[in-house]
Amino acid sequence: MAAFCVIAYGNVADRANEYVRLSRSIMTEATKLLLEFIVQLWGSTYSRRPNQWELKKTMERNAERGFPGCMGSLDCTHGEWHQCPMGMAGAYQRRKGSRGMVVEAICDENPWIWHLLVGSRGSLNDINVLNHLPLYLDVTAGRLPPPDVPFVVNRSIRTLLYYLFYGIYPRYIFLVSPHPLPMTDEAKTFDFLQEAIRKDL
Amino acid sequence: MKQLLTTYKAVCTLNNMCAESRRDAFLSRRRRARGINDGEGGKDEGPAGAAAAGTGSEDSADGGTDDNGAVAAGGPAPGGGGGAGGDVPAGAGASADPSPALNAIEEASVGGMVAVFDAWGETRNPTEHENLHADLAAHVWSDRGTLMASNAM
Repeated sequence: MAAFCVIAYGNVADRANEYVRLSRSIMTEATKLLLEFIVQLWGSTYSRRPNQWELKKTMERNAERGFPGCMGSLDCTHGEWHQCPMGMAGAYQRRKGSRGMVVEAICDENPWIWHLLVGSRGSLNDINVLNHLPLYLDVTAGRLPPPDVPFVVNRSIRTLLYYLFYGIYPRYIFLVSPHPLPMTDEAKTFDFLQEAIRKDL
Repeated sequence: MKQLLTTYKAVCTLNNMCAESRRDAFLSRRRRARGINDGEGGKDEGPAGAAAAGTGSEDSADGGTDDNGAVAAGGPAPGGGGGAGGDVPAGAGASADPSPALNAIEEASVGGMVAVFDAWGETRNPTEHENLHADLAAHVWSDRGTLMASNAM
């Protein structure tokens, strides 16, 4: 229970000392073991790519929301790494001076995280992170998305599914961004709805 | 670094476990493991091929580690495995409640370097990107009344 408190609330390891009578080192070790246990036992079940049924459900839901063929939302965040070792400080130094790392994730409406990339160097920008994202490598190699999932947009049939995103990513066909400068009502409506769905993440 | 990555993966796993309870028609692990269908939605409700329990595959769905030390979760589970049998530590008590067969989406077979270059060129085609963008904008515009009402809530 104390290890769960450390994970869920970010408690310091010796805070639970008052009621479980465990030392800080034991609590640290227990938390570490609990995390490894979670990853080992449930990682393969809950950290994976969608199966056909889940992909179909996600696409149906996104089609109802106005974006047929959308597999989810892609975004990345740059977090600060306070305890970055000195030996890695150069690689992980961000442009603002502090050390950090990039976390990139893809999720759907629920939000179920379908893909997570952790540990990219803070010195990388979004494009560089995308370029060594395993998912990107699979897409550019033709392994993903599955080719047998056609969808209809504006009376034209397409097969390459896409993700919604916002940022400096290049204009790849599997990434749909909002208009940079929406001038027409059509573009403004598109941006509004794209943002509404993208903010699932 | 290793501990940090483990923490992120565990948090991702816990998040998905919480999200599972909110997913509609997501069969519980026990029911899927037993292959029981008690009529709550019929055959169409369950994912394809979800009847079999984990087969003890050694495959991990943890993706892999790239040369920058980054770790990706949610990678493919080759062979449609994902069963916890091979990954469960001894004494975990998971044998009575095995994971469902997950059957991740099949990856298209890569036909060689020409196919890879074709796929690479297709994903970077700016004309196709603009066409898709224009089609989506037109699609949204044509149904804007319903979509704006449903997304504004």
